[in-house]
Amino acid sequence: MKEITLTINGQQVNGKAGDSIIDVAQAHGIPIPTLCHDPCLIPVGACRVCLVEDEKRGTLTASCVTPIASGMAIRTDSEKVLEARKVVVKLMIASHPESCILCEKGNRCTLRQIAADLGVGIVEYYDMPSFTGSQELNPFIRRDLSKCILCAKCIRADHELVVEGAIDYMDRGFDARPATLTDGPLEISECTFCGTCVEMCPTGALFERDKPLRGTATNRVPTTCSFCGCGCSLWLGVAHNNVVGVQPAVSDPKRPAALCAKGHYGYDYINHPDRLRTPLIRKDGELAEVSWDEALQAAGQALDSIKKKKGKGSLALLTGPHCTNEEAYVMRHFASHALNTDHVLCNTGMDISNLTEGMEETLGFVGANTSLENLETAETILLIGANPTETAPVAGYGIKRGIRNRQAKLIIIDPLEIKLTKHAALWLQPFINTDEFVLTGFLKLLLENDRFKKALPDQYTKEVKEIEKRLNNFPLDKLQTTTGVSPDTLRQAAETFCTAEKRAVVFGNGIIQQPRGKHLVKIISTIAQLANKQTTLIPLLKQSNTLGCLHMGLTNRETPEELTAKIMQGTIKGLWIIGDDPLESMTGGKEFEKALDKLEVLIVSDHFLNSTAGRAHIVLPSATFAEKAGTLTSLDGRVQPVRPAIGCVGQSRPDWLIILQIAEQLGAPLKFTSAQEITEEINKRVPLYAGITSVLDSAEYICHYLPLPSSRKKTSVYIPDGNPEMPPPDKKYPYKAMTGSILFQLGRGYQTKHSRKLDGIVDEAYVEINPADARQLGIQQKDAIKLISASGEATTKVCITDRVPSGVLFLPLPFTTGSTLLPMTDPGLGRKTCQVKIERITP
Amino acid sequence: MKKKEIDLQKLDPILEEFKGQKWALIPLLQKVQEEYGFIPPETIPDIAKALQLFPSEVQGVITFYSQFSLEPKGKYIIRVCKGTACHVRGGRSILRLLKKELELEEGQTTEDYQFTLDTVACLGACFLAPTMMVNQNYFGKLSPPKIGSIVKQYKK
Repeated sequence: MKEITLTINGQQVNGKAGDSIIDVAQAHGIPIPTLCHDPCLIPVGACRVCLVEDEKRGTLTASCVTPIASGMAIRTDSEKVLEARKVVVKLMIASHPESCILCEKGNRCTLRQIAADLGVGIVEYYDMPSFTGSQELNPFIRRDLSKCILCAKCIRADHELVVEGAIDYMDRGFDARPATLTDGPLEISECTFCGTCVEMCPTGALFERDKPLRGTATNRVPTTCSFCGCGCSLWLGVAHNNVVGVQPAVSDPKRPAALCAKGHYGYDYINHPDRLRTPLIRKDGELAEVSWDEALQAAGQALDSIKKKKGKGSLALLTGPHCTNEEAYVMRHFASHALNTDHVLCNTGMDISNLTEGMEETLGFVGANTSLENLETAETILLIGANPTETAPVAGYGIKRGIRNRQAKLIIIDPLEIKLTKHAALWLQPFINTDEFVLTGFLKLLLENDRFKKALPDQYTKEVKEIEKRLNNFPLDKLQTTTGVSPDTLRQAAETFCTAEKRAVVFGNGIIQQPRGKHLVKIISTIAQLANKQTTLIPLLKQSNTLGCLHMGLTNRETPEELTAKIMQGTIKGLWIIGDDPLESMTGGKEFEKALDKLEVLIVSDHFLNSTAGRAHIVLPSATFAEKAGTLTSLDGRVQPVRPAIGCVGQSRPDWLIILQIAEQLGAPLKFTSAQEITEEINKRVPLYAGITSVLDSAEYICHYLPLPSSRKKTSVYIPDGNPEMPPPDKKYPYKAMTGSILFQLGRGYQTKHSRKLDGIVDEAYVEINPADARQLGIQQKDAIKLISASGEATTKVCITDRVPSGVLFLPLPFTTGSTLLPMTDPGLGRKTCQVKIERITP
Repeated sequence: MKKKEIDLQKLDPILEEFKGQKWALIPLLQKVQEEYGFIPPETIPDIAKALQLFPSEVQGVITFYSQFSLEPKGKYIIRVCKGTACHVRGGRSILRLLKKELELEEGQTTEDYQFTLDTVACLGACFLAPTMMVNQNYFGKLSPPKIGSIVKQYKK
């Protein structure tokens, strides 16, 4: 790009064609105040505070929207500039309420800073404060539009970064304000409460509701969000040893930083009054507070006696996919060293082996083949059985930005309408669990596409021939009746997918949890394998460290069902659950409950006295991600640090420390004394993780991208079944109830249900049903109904929506906890779906 | 005032004409307003969907321009000029008379949706002061008797 030379305040500076004056000035350390400019938003020149003087033309110009030109002579501090800037700021102050002393923004208010810098004090202009009341019921964001200066940062953040369109300017002149459609409160708009606008707002017009602290946190600690698999960088604001706020953190100011409602506002679980603060031991049937020494000793003795009595494999460790890599690593060693067992597993709440085996056997690795950022630059995106805006919101933003900014084409294969559907170029709506038929047909049509064929990799020539032969007789004519998708639409989808070179394939639990999930994963992997090298493949793993647990060797050893079966058989006598609540988070928790009674000892370490902990013999209080050190591996293979921001709440301790201390009790001490030592050990011992110690540096935002395994076994493509069989419908249970995540809870809500803000927004169980089905059953919105499955029943409220097709129900996952409705696994339908019938409850 | 019934089917041919053309929001809105006499708020989501815009963006444009209205307007929209020239030549009395005659305040519409009374900063016909417009027609050099006869002319 051409270099352009100009002078700013007499200093010669260079920039690229298209750069704005403010960008070049700031890059050379020349400050220009601004209220509406942000490097990751499209400049609009709304606030006029950044006025500078073009000396040659003698005019004032807004530096954020004026591109540099060769030979320009700019002054940022001339008398003319300062005078004009003062007037601009005075006008803003004149229509601003005099409530600085009470304002939540306090000293962080940019308007106040700029006014102070310019020496604007009491304004002589006629005061015209515009008071617009706002009534918000949502637990996250408050608006006080009397403080709005119309910089449009919130509007642009909403449109350009998270692409929701919840707000835009309304009216004109003095009445102008950012407003939702119909000017109602945020909760009736498209707003997802990600809080990006709140972070952008330069004044106190937008602020977080019920913040634990007004004003500025004394310290902020860079760390990684521990909710979903996106692994966003965060700053935890700390004051008085409390986490008092969360802000998005980024390494590059030009990269948009947008969190979601969970990451931004779910932190209130950290200082929740219900946090477990002391160890508990069951005495005479009741859990009683004891000292750590007593608890550790009791736990050590209980585990030791079973180990000695019953021998190898009589003990088991179960954790959730939220623990750090360090904890997962230590757990494995602790199990084999101290417990003499191989039963150490991670409860992902699903059958992860469909994913691990499916990907291992085709691609030779598990997880995404590139980083999430590539979703944003993909030109065609195939989204199958995943709902990113709910389960991995940041991935959802990326897809939406791609569609908005680069006209990317999104193809969705999903039986339900999701939020992204309205952005999609094509939506294929197959009947439940008929994806294999659709995907096989899709592969066949891809192989008929010239552009796709031309770019086929040489190494698979033989296999491609085999696939073509196998699919030669694929009954495309049966597609419509078998899956509900017309062959024309599928052909169109295949063509659209091939229109561009940069493609992405994203899939989620809707695929992985099907009974033939492994085959589906293989077909999808094969599509990615045969497409060109730039094809991004991302399995949308839900939890913060699913991939890390997998890499540390926890997840795919044994399924929770096998564990349950072994407890029932009496092989496993003692269980220690570290940071999980399987009674709630496991599909078919009721079956696990029966198994718990068979245990001689049950130890639970957790942040809260959860359902499972309530049944334990020994309960140990563990620290949250805000109180401990370690690393997490995001769904796209970024290893990032978790840093302690506050001291452990109560007497809680990090899980890694508890494990080490119990190992000592068992007379099999592990050699570590800190989380960092474990990270260093992983760095040495786990080949894929070589180099991760770099994230321990003190730099604020840092991540280490895991390479794709270099020792990849010979990769292969999967040769699908030419005529896959589809399961026949069950007449006794006419409805298929599909479970899925909702935005404000992560999965079944292991952590998020302890956040009062997140748990408060959707607090009543409901089931979504098609209007036609509701009419037929004679049920109305909000009626109570009973769902009955082969394994049990549940009572819930009706929510009528045409998002679900006729014959299908949608059950939000958080409301499936503790219900008997879902069996552990349904051989016909997999783990995400169960067959039910509906009974009306007559009031 | 009773709510006007909206026939949303009338919207379809308009949306079909402009489908996918983001630039055409204003002509589209003009057609919608021509069809219904105003822009029914319930049409906003469909308009937004047809042009691939956010509903809030469509609302922003509608509320920005004074030519668009989200509320039903009368069959005849009277715009009285409040410009300097009209003011000097008795524009205020003209407005007062109209208010009395129609029993309306500024911005209001009669029960029978016959008249809407609006004011504008200047109609650009100062040489005819005091002036007003009824829909697309100018009326100049107004006087109290003239007002009576003009209103009568438009009354049912």
